[in-house]
Amino acid sequence: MPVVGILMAHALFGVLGTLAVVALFFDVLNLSSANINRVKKLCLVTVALFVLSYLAGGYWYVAHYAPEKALILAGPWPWAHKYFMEVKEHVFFLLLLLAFYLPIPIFNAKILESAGLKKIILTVLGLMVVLGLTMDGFGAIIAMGSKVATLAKLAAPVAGG
Amino acid sequence: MENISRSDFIVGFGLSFLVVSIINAILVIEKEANEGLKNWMAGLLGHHWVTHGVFIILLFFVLGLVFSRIRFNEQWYGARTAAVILIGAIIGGGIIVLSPLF
Repeated sequence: MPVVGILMAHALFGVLGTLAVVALFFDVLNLSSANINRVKKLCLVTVALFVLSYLAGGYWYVAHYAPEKALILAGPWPWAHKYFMEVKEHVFFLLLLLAFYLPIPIFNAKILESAGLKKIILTVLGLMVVLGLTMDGFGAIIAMGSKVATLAKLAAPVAGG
Repeated sequence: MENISRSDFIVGFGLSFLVVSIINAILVIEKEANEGLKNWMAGLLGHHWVTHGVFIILLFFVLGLVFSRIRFNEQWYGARTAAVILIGAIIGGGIIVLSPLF
C-alpha cells in the first residue's frame, strides 16, 4: 500500500470510529432489550476502528512522518507540528484507553436495569466524541501545515534563476 | 482470595483511566524536559512514542486489574465513576494541551 494510503486509513478509521461512537451514544440514550445486541456489536466495531486507526497512524508516524515534519517546520506554519502534532500524538492515547474501557460497562449483565451504568457509558461516549473530533481537527491542521509548506517551497524563487 | 466479578472492572478500570491519563501527561512533560529519558525510551522499542504507548496501555490494564480487587460500595457504580473518568480526561488532556505553551 502506498504511504499516503496508510495515512488515509488512519484518518478513515478515526472518522468511522467517531461516527460509530455518535451512533452508540444515541443507541445507549434509548437503551432497551430491542437494541442491546446492536449496542454490543457497535461497541466492538468502535474498539476495532480506534485500534486500527492507532496502528495505521502509529506506523505512519514512526516510519514516514520525519520528512514531512522537517517540511512543516521549515514552512510558514511550524506550529502545526510543534503544537498540534505534539498534542495529538499524546491525547490520542486517552481516546484509545476510553475505547478499551467501553466494553466493560456495555457487556455488563446489569446494563439494561442500571441507570448508573448508563451514566458511565454516556460520559465515556461523550468524551470519545469530543476527543475524536479534536483528533480530526488537529489532523486537518497538520495536513494544512504540510500543504502550505509545500506551496511555499514551490513558490520560492529558484536560486540563480 | 476473593474473585473479581465483571462489575468490579467498571470502577477499577475507571480509576485506572484517571491515574494513567495523569501519568501519560507527566510523561509528555518529562520527555520534553529530559532528553536522556526520551533517548532511553527511543532506544527501548525503536521510537519514544512507541515505548510511551506500550507503557501507557500496559499500565492501564495492570492498574485496572489491581484496582478491581478493591471493594467499592454501590455509589461507585454510577455518577462517581463517571466523574472519575471525566476528571481524568480533563486533567490528563488539559496538561497535554497546555504544556507546549509553557
